[in-house]
Order: sequence, then structure tokens, then C-alpha cells
Amino acid sequence: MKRIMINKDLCSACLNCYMACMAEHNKNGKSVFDVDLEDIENEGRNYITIDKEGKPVPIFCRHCDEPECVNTCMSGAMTKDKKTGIVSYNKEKCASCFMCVMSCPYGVLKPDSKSKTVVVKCDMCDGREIPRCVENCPTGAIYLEEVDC
Amino acid sequence: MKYVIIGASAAGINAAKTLRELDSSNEIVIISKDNNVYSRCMLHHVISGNRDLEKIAFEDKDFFSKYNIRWVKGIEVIDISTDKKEVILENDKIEKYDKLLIATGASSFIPPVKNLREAKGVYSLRNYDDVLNIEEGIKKSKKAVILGAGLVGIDAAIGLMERGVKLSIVEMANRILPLQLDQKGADRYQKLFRTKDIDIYTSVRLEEVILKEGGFVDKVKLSDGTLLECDMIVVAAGVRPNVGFIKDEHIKIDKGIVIDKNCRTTLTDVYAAGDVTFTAPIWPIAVKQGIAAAYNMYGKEKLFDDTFALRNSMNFLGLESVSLGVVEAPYSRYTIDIIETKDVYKKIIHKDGIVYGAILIGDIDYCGVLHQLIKYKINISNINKNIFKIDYSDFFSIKQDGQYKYEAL
Amino acid sequence: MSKCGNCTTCQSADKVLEGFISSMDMETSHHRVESQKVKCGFGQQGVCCRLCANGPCRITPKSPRGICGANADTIVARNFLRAVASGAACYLHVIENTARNLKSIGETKGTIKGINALNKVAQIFGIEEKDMHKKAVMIADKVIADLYKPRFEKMELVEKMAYKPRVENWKKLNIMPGGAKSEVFDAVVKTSTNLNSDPVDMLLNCLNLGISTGLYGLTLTNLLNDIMLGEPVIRAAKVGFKVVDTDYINIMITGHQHSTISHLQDVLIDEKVIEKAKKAGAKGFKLVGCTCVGQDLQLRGEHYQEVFAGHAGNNFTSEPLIATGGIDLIVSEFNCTLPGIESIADEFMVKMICLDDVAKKANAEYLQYSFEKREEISDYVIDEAIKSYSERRGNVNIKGKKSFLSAFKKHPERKSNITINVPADHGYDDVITGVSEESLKAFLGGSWKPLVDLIAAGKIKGVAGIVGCSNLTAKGHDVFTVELTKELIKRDIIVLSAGCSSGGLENVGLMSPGAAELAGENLKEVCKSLGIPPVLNFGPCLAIGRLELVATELAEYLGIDIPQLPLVLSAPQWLEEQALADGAFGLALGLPLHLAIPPFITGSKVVTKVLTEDLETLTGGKLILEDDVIKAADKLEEIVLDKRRKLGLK
Repeated sequence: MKRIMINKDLCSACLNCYMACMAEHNKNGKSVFDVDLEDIENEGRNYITIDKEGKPVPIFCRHCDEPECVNTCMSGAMTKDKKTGIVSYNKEKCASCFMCVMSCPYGVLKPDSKSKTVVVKCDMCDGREIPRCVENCPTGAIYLEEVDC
Repeated sequence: MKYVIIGASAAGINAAKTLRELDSSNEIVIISKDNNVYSRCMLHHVISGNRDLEKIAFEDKDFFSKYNIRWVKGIEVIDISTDKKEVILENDKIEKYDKLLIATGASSFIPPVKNLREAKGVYSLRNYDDVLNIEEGIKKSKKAVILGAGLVGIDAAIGLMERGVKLSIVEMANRILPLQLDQKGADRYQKLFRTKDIDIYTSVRLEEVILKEGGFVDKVKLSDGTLLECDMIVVAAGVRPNVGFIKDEHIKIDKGIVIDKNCRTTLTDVYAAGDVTFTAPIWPIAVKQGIAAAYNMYGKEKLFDDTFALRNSMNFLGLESVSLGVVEAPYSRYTIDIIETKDVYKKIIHKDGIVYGAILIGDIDYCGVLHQLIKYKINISNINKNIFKIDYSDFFSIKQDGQYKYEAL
Repeated sequence: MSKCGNCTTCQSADKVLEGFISSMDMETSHHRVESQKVKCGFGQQGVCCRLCANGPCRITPKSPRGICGANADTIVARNFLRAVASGAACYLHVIENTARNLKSIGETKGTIKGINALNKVAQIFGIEEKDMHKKAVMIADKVIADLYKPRFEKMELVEKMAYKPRVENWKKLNIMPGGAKSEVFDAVVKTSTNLNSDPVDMLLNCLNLGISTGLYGLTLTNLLNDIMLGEPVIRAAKVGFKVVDTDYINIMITGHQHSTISHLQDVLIDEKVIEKAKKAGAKGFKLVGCTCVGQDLQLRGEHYQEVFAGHAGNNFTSEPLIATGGIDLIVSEFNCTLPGIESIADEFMVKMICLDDVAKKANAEYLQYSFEKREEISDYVIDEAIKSYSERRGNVNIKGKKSFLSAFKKHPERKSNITINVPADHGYDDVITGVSEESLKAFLGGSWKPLVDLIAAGKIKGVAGIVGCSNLTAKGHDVFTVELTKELIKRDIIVLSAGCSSGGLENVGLMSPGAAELAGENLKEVCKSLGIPPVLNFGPCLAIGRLELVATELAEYLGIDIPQLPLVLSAPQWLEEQALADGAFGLALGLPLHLAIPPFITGSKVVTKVLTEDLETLTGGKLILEDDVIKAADKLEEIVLDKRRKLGLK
């Protein structure tokens, strides 16, 4: 599977990845100009945070080999596709229990800000050839690499 | 090699799936009392009308054919002959096994309160049948009492809330969700329940059920003398493991079936997983035990060591919360950090750099890290950050294949 | 200097140019588009604020306000006003210098080449004076006085120059400008930290700056230049790289201040100067146009036939132009003088002289232009050009041309030889140039009636001003401009163009009479009968002021206000702040203005709504943001049809 690798030393916290993710998952259209930056319904699936030394660190869903979110999901909404390696989230099945949010050891997940009923989960841009965040990182802090599933 | 699994819920299904992923050819059989595979955590959504039986399935309809598993459904196991390595079914049929996994779960416990066990109109909330019974009960009821304000009791309340039945919740502790929330946290939810015209009685026990003609529930009497009229009672006062069919003394049973770190019972070739072991009655532990048991049954060593049970997430009445570890400081030497606003209540209990407990209400974003910190007692003394701002960046460590890990572990 | 082997270059509407650029060894702006294609979304939406040390702040759903409390509307409006102020400042710099040059010419009794223009302007200003030089001085003084007024004194000439109904509208909105330079000054103040946070006030301020940009920066610069340098005459001209004749010493000019080279352009055809060139081995000197000052020379080409080689191309053609090797010296006095030319000039040993430090390149020699020193400066430029010619042509390798330079000393120590490769097939020979508000009216017989009749009859549906810059990101170099123009003429809408967009349109043949074939049936007929192309070249972006004079005269003729005309504006590939100031003028005139790339405003709902919707009820103007060519053409056509309907036309 292709995983988004992270070299945090190259991250400059420009948030272009966050912006690109919002644009890619925006119901109003995929252009960056379609993103309403004042609408809390727009949020990135991954995020940049600041560590104890004040440096920016990308926190991105790993689509883990043994995903805690899948283990804790009691509705079958979180599933791991053994072939593609992608951990997918099906919001129709989800019962909004948020056990996954609590269980992800890396704190990658959160309920959506607008309705607090679904989980904001990276979907590797649903089959796009290259995830939009990786495409828009100007420094190469995030990049794609083939790994064993 | 023939694998037999008793139980088709979290532990059983995941064990079977894992076994098939490891072993593509040998026979796998699941025997279950259940006629359907469904998530018991979602039963209250069926009561409320939001979902039906099909929509609370946690696996696809074609699960058994896809994974080539033979399913003996709707049949109860009544005995195990351990020297013959046979499982005896209620219809007198036999299933031989080479490796056996007991994942029979637990059942609702009706406490020995006067008239409670005999009364008509008393329901549990554990199986789908209970839901069907409750449906019948709702038809004839105007008022209901829910006994126990733990997770199941609150689920029952949420389920019944929109069904036109006046609800009263009776709880022994001084607050609802006593194992998950502290007083301040519980108060926020209690306030919300009151806006839905649901009455909550805390610090009282159920003393007596008063019957009417025909043996139906009429009133309940509480320990402080309060009398509540009701037509039905939903009992959510705990569960007991389903071990009644195990007569063989070689299988040691304590609170539940006793297992080692490889999910083996005290009897060779017999494993157990899930609520029947009573390790911790939560879904993820059942799933992981099922998976570990499967590995070990197949012959590949795998430890199950995630026994951290004090963890729950809740989402009722539009307010989401997470509870981890202890909800109160064990004694005064602990540090308690609190954020309290109109919409958010957060509390972290820690001492000497180790976090022991956390309650997060109204904002649970990215809280998985706290779970790790508490579970593995990771020391945070040298992280010079506001404790509520600590996140994975402070433990960032990446493997060659890109997966994250914690250096400390 | 990095040489670019196999990187991708952006598309151009000019395919010959595109081919030339992609075969180039050196890097140009066309090569750099690819590596800069990842844009900052916050910048694009205009919600990044870098004013203070607490920043840079960005507006996101999680952080709806900057640290100071500024929300998206404030930040966007501030950024926009500052950009418009900068753009206005650029144009005002040009008119200031132009007016001062006119004053000097008047005072020294210099040549006045445009008597009609002189008298026309004097009449507008209400100046009565027989002596033409004194008149010139008085005109210049009035302009300068207005520019230098303090903010609280309204500029006099606005009411004299602008169309009355517009002035009424502006007075009502309280956007009549005070002293232009002071207005710019205060706009800079307004947009600094923790000062103005009222987005509507700032937008109205933009309109105010637009008015001074349009009337002074654009219109008056044209008119004063006409006085000093001669009025435009319609004629056919050669354009493109083919204008570069390597037998001459070629001086490339970049900028907007035509009057700065007025002495130089006259002295280059002096006998003594031509002698100097011959001694060096060349036939003489030629000025090669690139950027708006080249368009200005082309516009007045009738008066400069000997010294002006032709307009080679627009701003983004400047780098490859130098890389043809055919340019010997660059004289720059304003934009667009791309930083990218520095390395190419170095490589091709092209000397750079800068006459106005606002346009100084790092490796250019700075020689501040002043009227008093003009002769010295011209002499110096000529000598440097000869020197550069001699040095660099010594080692030439001229592709496909017999070298005229046999009597040269070689420089064996120089390692790199310069290859001169001027594509002879780039450009056109018959571009119709010299169109102005006067020359066009004269062409139509001295009145606007013929044009009005054609519009009324529906032979010409309406008029579109496709103006402004060239950029590389709206589908490519001039791509959107050319495609949109083709769409509009297909729909019988005649296109008037001014600015670098004209440079792009003429280099692809749309301003040659043959382009009539691409127009709709009605427009084609009109063009063929008149012998004109469906796209008319008004010249530099300054000439947007001329378009607006045409609009004013048409409106006056019809007795209506400008917003009622079936006239639309598009600056599809606007590039810079000056374009935004131009745009502000267009909006103040009440015209619909289309842009393909949003001007960094979409992050603010208030600013976007005011400019794209509410403005119509204020000035009549409307901003249209559309990045699809067909949809843009549809929208513009619809507006034209709507205006026709409202005028009672079919």
C-alpha cells in the first residue's frame, strides 16, 4: 500500500495540506476558492500541531496495520481493507459512539465540528492518484511511499 | 483440524474471521444462540426506531459465505464433553472439535428485589429478543422505570426517550454513570435528561416491586419511601457471564472463565474470549481477545495484554464525552487540572508525571493520546506544556514503514 | 545561473513563442510556473495578514479572527485597499513625471508634436492662452497642482474631465478624490495595523483611488503624451520577434513613461548618431518595443517610423526576447521590467540602464532621468549601446544570416559565444495599430454615429474591452485572453484592447484584418467592409483611459450614463496591483468587469458580495469572477444583451 510518510523537520506549518484536504472534501466544489473559510463544517482530516519545542509536527492517519479504531468499532463503520491497506470510515454505519476517537493511540481522530455525529477520518482521498495534501506540500515534508500491507 | 466457536458476537465473529485469514482450509464452525449477528451496543437504536436489526449488524450479510464459516444458528449449547472433545447442542446434535473457543458473552442480571424476578413487565436489555419484548411492553405502557444508570441503563433511557413513555431512572450511586463520570460531569447530563422530562433518582435502591392484577408491574418502592407508578421496568443492574452450560470442573471459573495471556482456559485446547471471561466487559477487549485466541488456536503465539478496562466514550443528547482511568483522585496528593466552561468540562488527574484519569465532556477531539498515557503510565514530567495541550507531537516517533509508535513503550 | 534542460514550460497562446521558449537553454518565467504551482490557499483567498509581529495570521474555520480581532472581511479589505493604493501610486508616478516633462518642454519652448491634443486638453481644463508653450506649462501646472493637493482638498480636474452623471454619482457616494498622492498616502496608513477595520469604507476608498488612477494616471498620461510625442494615427505595423533586425544596434525599452525617452528616440535618427553606429558596423539604431512603452511607440508609430522597429511582445515576452541575442541594450524606466531578465541579460551580455530607480534591476546601471540632463543621458545611452554592440557581437554566431560584422576583433579569452537566434516567423506584418478615441472617430468620419448605428442595427451586438495585463496562470500565457476574445467576436461583439493583452492578441494575429474570418457573420461583414480587424489595438494599458473616453463620448452622444451602454470590460489575465487600480476605475464608471482569477478577495463574504452584487446599486459597476472561458463569454454576452434590451434595442 502507499502510505503518507512524514519528515517533520521539513514541515513549516504553512497548512497547505490542511487547506487542500478541506478543498478536496468540500461539498461545494474542489477548488480552493470554494472553501468557505468561515464554515466550521470544513475541516482537514489530518492536522499540524506544535510540540513541546514549539516546532510544527504533522499528525496524519497512518492507516495502521493493526488499527485500534477498527478494533474498537462496534458498528462495522471502521474497516481495514487488507488489499489496499486503507482504513475506511462508513458514516452511514457509524453509530456516533466515538470509541474510535478515544482509542486511536495517536489522537488522530475527532468528531466533526458541525454536527458532532460523524468522525473526521482520512480516506486517502478516496482513490485519487495522489492524496491532495501530499500534492500540495511545498516542502516535501509529506510524501508517498510504497510499504508492505 | 476443526475449530469450533460458541458465540457470534464481538469475540466470536472476530476470532472466526482471524482464523480464516490465518488458515484458509480447515473447518470453522460457529454455534450461537443468536439468530443474527448484531452489535449489542446498538440495541437501543432499534428501540428508538432509528435503526432496524439489519442496520445494527457489524459485519456484511455475506460474512459467513465470504469467510467460509459454517454457522449453526439459533441453537443453544447445553454441555461440553471435554474428554470426548464434543460440544452437545440443545437438539441433541453433537459437534466435535479440535480447538474450542467459548465466547458466549454474558446475560443481564436481575437482582433479588422483592417481586422483581416474578413480575410481568420486567425487561432486560442485552439481546435482540429483549428489544422485541420491550416493543411489546411499550405498547401497553405509559410510564417506565429504568433500574440502574450505568451505560446500559442510560442507553435504555435514550432508546425509550422518543417512544412516548414517561421515564424515571433509579440509581444506587449518588449520580448517573458513576463509574464513568464524577459529580460535575454527571450533573451536565442529568440537566439534559431533565429537559427531556426524564426523572432521575439517585442514592436510592429499589426496595420492592408492587404488582397489580395479573402479576403486572404497578408501582415501585424506593429505599427512601418514594413510590413511582410504572407499567414496565427495564433492569440494567449488571450482567453475569454465560457459563451455565459448563459443568466440567477442569474449566476454572472465577468472575468469569479464567484465561491466561494467550486466552487459554485451564483446559487444553479450550479457549475463551469476550464478556464470558469478564476481563472487562467492553467491545474492544472482546474483539482483541477473539483475535488473540484465534492466533493461539491456529498455533501462532499472540499475547492479549490490553486489559485496560477503564475507558468509555459516550454520546447522549448531543453531548459527547470520554472517560479514562479513575474519575476521582484516589487521595489528596494527586493534582487535578480542570477546564470548565458552559459547553466543556475537562478534568485530568495526575501525580508525578503519570496521568491516572481523565474526564472530557463537550470536547473529545484528538483525545486518544490521553488513553495511551493512562494505559501505559507514560511519564509526562518533562513535557513543558499545558497538560490539556499535550498531544502525539510530544511523543512523535516514526517507524521505517511510516507507522507511528511511542518510544517510551 | 541555472540552465534549464528539460523542465516543462507553461502554455502560451502564441505557439511560435511557446516553441521558442521550450527550446531555450535558459530559464524564464514560463519555466518557473511549474515549480510554483503549489499556491498558498490562504493567500489565494486573501485571508493571510502579515502586518504585525503577532502574525502572520490566517483565517480558518478554527481561527476565525486574527490575534488583533480582525476577521476575514477586515483582512481581505485591507489587503485589497493596499494593493489598489499601490497600483494607483504606480500610475500616479507615471502621470507626475509625464506632467513635469510637459512643463519642462513648455518652459524650454521645446517641440510640441500634438497641437490638437494641446488645444483639446486646454479646452477641457478651461485654459485660455494663445502661446502654445505657455499653454503647455499651464496644463502641466494644473495637473501637478492637483496631484500634490492635500487630501482634504478635492482635485479640480476631476469634474472637468469626468462625465457629469458619473461625477454626480461619485459625489453622492462621497468618493470624489482629494489630492491623489495624499489619498494614496492615507490609504497606506488606513491599511496598517489596528487602524481601519471597516471593509465597506475601505472598498469605497478603492473606488476613490480608482477615479484618480483612471482620470490622471490613465487618461491624462495619454493626452499629455499626445501633446509631447504626437497623436496616434491608424496604420498597419509589424509585430513580434521578427521586428528585431540584427543589422542594427537594438535598444529594448521597458516601462510606461514614454516621455522619458522622448529625447532619445529623436536623437537616435540624427545623422551624427547614425554615423557612430555605422563606424561600429551597424546600419543604425532601432528601438524595440516590449511592455507598454513599446505599445506607446507603436501607437504613435506614424511619427517614429525610422527609429521604432516595432512592438516585439508583451511583458512575459521580454525574457525570451533578450534570449534571441538580438538586443544590445535595455533601457528601463518602469514596469514590467522582470527580475528574470537580470540573468538572461548577463548571459547574453546585454547592458542594462535604468532611468528611474523605481525600476532598477540589480545589475542595471542607474542614471536618474531628468529633463535638464536629457542630452547627457541620451549620449551616454548611445555610447553604451555601441560599446555593448561591439563587445557582444564580436563573438557572435548568427543563425541563418550572413554576418555583417566581418571587421570585428575576436575575443579569444571569452569562453561563451553568444548565439543570435531571432525567429523570423514570429509575429505579423499587418497589425492595425494607432487606434485612439480621436483616430477611431476620425476613421468613422468624424462622429460616433456609424458605430452607434451598427450597434443599434445589431450588426455589432456590443463592445467588449479586453484589457490589462498578461499572466501565466489563467490557463497559460495569454491563453484565456485569446480564447475569450475569440468567443466574443464569434458572438458579434467587437473587442477593444489595451495593455499587455494587446501584445498577446496582436502576436497571434487577432489584430490583423485577416482575423475578421474568426468573427461572427455580422461582425465579419462590418470588419471586411471597413478593412479592420474585429479586435482593435488601443495601445498600452494607459490607453484603458482612452477606451473610457470612447465610452464617455458614446454615452454623451446617446444621452445616457455609462452603465447603460452595451459595453463590458474584462481584464481576464490581470497581473498586478495596477490592474486592480484600473479595475477600481472601471467599477467606479459603473461597468461590469470580468476577471478570470479572483483578486484575493473570496475569503471575505462581505467584500465579495459588495463587489459582485451590491456595487451595482451604488455605481452600477459589477465584478464578475469566472475562470471558464465559455461561461465568461456567456455572462458577458448576457450583460450586453440585457443592456441592449433596456435601451430598447433588439
